[in-house]
Amino acid sequence: MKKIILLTIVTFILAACAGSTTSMPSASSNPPGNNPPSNSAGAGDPAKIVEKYITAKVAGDAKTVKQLLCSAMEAQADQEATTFLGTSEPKIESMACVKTADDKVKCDGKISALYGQEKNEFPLVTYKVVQEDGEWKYCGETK
Amino acid sequence: MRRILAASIIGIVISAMAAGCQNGNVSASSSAIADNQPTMVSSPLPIAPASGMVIIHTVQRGENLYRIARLYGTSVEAITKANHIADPKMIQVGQKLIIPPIQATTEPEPTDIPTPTPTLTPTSTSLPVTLAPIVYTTTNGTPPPPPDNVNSVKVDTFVVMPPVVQENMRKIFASGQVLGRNARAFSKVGDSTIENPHFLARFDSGPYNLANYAYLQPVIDYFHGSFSRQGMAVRRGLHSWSVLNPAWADKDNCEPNESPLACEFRLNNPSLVLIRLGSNDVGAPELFKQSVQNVISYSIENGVVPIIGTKADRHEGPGNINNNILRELAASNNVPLWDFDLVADTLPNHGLASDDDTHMSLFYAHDYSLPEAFTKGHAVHNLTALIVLDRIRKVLTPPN
Repeated sequence: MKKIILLTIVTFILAACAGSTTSMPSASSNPPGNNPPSNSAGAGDPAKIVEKYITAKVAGDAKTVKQLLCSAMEAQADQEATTFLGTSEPKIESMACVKTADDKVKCDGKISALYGQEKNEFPLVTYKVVQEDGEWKYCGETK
Repeated sequence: MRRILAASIIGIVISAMAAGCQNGNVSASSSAIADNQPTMVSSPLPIAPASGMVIIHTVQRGENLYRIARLYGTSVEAITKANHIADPKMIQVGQKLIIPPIQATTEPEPTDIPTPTPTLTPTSTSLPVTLAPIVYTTTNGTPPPPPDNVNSVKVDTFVVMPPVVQENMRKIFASGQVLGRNARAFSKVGDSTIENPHFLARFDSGPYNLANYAYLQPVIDYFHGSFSRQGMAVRRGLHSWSVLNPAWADKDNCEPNESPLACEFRLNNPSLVLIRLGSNDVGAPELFKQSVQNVISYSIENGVVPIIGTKADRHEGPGNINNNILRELAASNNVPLWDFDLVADTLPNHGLASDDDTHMSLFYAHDYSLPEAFTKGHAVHNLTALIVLDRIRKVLTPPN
């Protein structure tokens, strides 16, 4: 019986640890706007931070955008959060981001949005990331 | 939108075919396009040289003597004789031909209706000699005064440019010149209502006929190249708050973190920018106002004179909210206002297409001798834009 209890505890701990590294849902599998604002910018994988940022931007989630934006871009936070204001059905298609350098994350995929019957597409590009207070932050586009 | 696009393409093809067939004329400007030559004006009517006037015509690709003779309302024999051409089939692209004056007996009887008369273009430049703008003359041979209105709306009413605005324009323009801005280039900022090919583009490529507004030809020549440039700051669905947002920039042409407007200024280096926003900005008047203000401020800071245009539609809802904001911003910033909305008031369905509450009615012919031109949104939009550019050019670069 003790073994079973011990095993259960270990399983819970492992599950909790696994959850902390995979808590960022894939943007391509979750419609924008369905992700609750995160409570912290989060350290870890900068590619995941960028995915989370793009997801928040498309959803118009100003709180998360501000949390994940680097200090150098603070002044643009509102503009970033209203990027797709006025469009309908903004969605991320086939987003896949990978870290390509110390401060770069390259994303494939695109964002599409409708205005009336007019479709706009926004290809994902390479983004700059910086570490501030030990956490990765999104810091705009880069080459 | 696809239907509109398809209709546009079909319309352009039909217009081109019609222009080619009408009166058997060959459009001088179509040759110009092929040879990438400066803009010329074509007319659906043969261009009749005035008595005693000699025209120098540069042969364009695809032309023969028969077509050239038809263009000027003269004969192959008259041209071959004047140019000592032994074999009429042996003319070369780029060859300059004297188009002899028409004999008095062949001149049309003067009428009260203004008739087009060509003028000579300078022959001392390295550019090929092209047809000059058609100058409409009255029965006594003098050009009529430029119309002071469009559809009875006075130019001074829809081009709002009081002295204080003119003074501010000169300051902005001067700061732009210090930065190396191109005095002969303008840019466009806006949405699908000013997309190519309907907005101004024809004034670079031709054919068009300015008719009684022929006095605008110099402004077409002056800004040649800008009319057909859609640029980086015109995009479907563009909102005022997207103009300075790098996410909306063309990733193939713009630098990382560069906004559509910054990208356009870098690539085109204009001295003027036509701002036609507001159709997409629905339900957020304060944000619209702040965003247009940001666009104006950015333009001024970069030495580019912003020209604020009002729009024909009421897409944002009743009350004409966005146009009123645009008028207010033009006044508070002392920048020129192109109040197209006032002229749109004179048009059927306010100048909008019958099946669309945002986009304007089309007019492929670009022939302002036709009454229909003054019933179509895009036609009047283009004409009033030319008038605004002309007025501004005269303030910024007055004749010596």
